Amino acid sequence: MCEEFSNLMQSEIEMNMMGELVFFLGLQIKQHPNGIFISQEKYVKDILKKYKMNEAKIMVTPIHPSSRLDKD
Amino acid sequence: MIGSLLYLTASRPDIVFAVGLCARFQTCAKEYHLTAVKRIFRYLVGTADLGLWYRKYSGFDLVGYCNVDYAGDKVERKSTSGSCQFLGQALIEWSCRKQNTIALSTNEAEYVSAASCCSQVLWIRNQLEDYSLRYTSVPIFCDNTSAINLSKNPIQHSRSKHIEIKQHFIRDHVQKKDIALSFVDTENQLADIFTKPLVEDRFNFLKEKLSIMKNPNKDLSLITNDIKLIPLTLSDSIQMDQSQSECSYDQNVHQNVHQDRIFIKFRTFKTRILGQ
Repeated sequence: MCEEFSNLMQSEIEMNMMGELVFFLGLQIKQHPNGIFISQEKYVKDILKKYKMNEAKIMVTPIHPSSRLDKD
Repeated sequence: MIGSLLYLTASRPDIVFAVGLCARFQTCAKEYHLTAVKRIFRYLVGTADLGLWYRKYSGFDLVGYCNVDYAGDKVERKSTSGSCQFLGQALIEWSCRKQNTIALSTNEAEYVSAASCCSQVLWIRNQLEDYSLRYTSVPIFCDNTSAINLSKNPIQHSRSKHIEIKQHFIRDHVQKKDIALSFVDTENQLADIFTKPLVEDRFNFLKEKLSIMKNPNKDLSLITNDIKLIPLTLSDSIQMDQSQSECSYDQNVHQNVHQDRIFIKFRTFKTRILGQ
């Protein structure tokens, strides 16, 4: 069915079949036999490198449980 | 920094609240806020490989969760509403928002949050109608009984007069059986993660419930990592068979995974030799 559709599209408009979707707008998509996994692992590593945080100490939660951010 | 984190929230609902909170102070950023942002990055260092896992055959039951952190914002004393919607076990939509109005009671804050969750649910419902999935009385889970009662009871409460429009909006949809507000205890309130900072245990519990996890296929490769130093022999493949029997895949998949693994192993083996 997929091939039929791709052939139809290719005959109507000029386009290519790129195969299974794996990378789209920074989202990595992995198709497994029992589900789909979406992550941004590469993007995370990129931004960590960009802000030189890739060697920082690991935290278990993104925000301190009793933190209250204020204006000053 | 915040901008790049905001883009990351597309696949990471676990940091939505923290990022949203930091984003509020962008106009008057202080060093203190930078420390908070850096903490998010440090969290990401350890959890870079997390993502959303969508199981196959998880059903198509639409449910919504809504929660609120009353007067969570220390500057203006506005409440934070968080909501998420599931289709079966798959998390399809989530949000964390500072409310526009200042709520006078938890009940009111909860109600405002339920109203925004309700409008999201109605939108999803309309979208799913295109796939001929029709829903009646979509449950929206809320941990405040008085908000639920308010949606059923037509009495005008003096406390809730000023949120009249939202009140009528929800009540109308409850009466039309579009949605149904139901109670859930705080323990199982999955939208908790979008409204307040949590301790580690609770945070990880909710993360698991929202199926934010590591790539499940990688767990399989972890098994091969343990034995990758052993040269490829017959006894080796038997060893792998044993490790596979613990996984819950059907036989065909088994064989595919098996071949992949030998391939991976062979490749690591090869690079090892070439590298040396």
